[in-house]
Amino acid sequence: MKKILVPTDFSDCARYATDTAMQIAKRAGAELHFYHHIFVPVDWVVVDFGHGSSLPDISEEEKGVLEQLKILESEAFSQGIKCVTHMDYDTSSESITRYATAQDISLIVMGSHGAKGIKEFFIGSNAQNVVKHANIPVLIIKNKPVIRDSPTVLFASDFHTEALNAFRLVAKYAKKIGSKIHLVYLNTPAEFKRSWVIRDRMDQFIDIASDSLAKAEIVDCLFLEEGLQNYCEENEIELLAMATHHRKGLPRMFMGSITEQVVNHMEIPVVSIPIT
Amino acid sequence: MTLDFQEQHSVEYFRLHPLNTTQMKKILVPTDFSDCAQNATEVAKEIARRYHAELHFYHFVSVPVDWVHLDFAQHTIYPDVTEEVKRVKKLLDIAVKSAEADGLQSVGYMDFDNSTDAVTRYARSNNISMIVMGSHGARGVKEFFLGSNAQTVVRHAEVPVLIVKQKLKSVAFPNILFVSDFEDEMIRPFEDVVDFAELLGAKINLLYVNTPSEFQRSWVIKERMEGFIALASSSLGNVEIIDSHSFGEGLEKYCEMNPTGLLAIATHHRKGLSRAFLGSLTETVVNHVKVPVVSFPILS
Repeated sequence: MKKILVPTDFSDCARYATDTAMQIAKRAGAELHFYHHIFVPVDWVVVDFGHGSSLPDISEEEKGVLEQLKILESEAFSQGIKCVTHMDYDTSSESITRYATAQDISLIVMGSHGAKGIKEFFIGSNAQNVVKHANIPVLIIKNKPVIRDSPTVLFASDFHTEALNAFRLVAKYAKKIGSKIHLVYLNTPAEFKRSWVIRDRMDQFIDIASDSLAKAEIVDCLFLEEGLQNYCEENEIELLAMATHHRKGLPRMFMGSITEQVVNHMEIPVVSIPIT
Repeated sequence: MTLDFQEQHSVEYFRLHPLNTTQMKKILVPTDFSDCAQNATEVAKEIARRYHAELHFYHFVSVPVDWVHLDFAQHTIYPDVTEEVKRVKKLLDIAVKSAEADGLQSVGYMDFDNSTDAVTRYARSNNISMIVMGSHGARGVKEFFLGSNAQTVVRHAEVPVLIVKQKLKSVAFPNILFVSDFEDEMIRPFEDVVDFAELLGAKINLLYVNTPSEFQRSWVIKERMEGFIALASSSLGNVEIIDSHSFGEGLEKYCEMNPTGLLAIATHHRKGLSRAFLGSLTETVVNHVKVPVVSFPILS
């Protein structure tokens, strides 16, 4: 793992992600990229200095951001972590992932405001967006980031063969950090599968997990979230890993992605691995 | 129709070997002397040996008139029936003698009662503790269908009914599969299952079949199962939830993947009309598996 990207808005929530990213960077000897983007009313980058002074709010904000980034940078340096900061003016929804691609980032770590009730539809949309567009793993931190050195990992999936590559990555890292993996299929009446069909599909994943495997289970539930929540509580899961479909264009709007729903409801960190 | 009225009609008392003890366990074997019934008899004998129980062979003869109330002279008017009665007496005698040769106390009984619950009425008035019977149609398609006789008995019986479908080598089953919805009312019959498993020296496997139409969350099912797991204690084998589109399909698949010696279920003892309308779990079960099935009644 060479470069870790941390999109930050300098909130408490982003702070948790920052702490986690530093923890990982230290262990992996990776470089940290702090990223912030500011919304500008005009095409700021091509506005010359003279015009800039006519928009004092933006100038102020820009200064503030640069200052905050500076603080993060020195913090990272003090812990012996290589660090890069970046302020972006790109306001498109894919700006973060575009930066990640350009910089050859291998992991994105970001905070997400827990989403409860009505707010669910408004907050956390940033993290959801990144999950949708990133073609590298995205680790989403909700709460205080006490990830143990070898967290118990739950890989929840439909266990289609297309998730195999994503899972290989999970298994590889789990082995590296000495984590145990739980495999779970969530069976709901709405999308019901026979258990022997599921078990058949799981076999390959069990093989890949090999020694890291803790349990392979089918959980019957009415909704995915309740099934996950229940399993995580009962089995003291510390990190949830999911393979996420990249959906470009229209289908995204119609097919609700499991990962997106889950990201919004889970308290534990979630890592989303894109299916490529 | 009162019970007393029925009892009066329950006729020509034909005890080949009257017994004096009422404390002893009794096993009833309704028989038509077919191969199928013979398979059941063999199983009943083995269980009787383990229980130190008495065997009751039971056969019912269909008669055209109120046979019991006819005197001997009138019997001669119906030579067919007379012949049949003689034949049955002889066969019951053979059955009893053969059981006795195996060291078992035994009784034969011929009934003329043609009401649907004649067998269970006999069981009630004779303090029978278990019924063992064969199920008809051991060929082709019919193999999977429970004979109507067995069906009727299962629905009416107040004691466990063991249905034997094939010739068995032994009743030393390695395991008994208890398939259930694990509701509270199943606990009582399950106690009997545990006793029976201990008698046979078998492990008890527990199975819940989860279907989309009657869906339950797995943690809810597991919670319900806890009481049963505790009851089974040292006899407990595997505990499983299987997801399938229908109950029968799930059960069939489970038995295919896990060799099962005997299937145990708890059946609602249905009174009145509901008996005719409600589909019986037992029938589904028996129609889907080849292994013997023992049905324990849920008595209210």
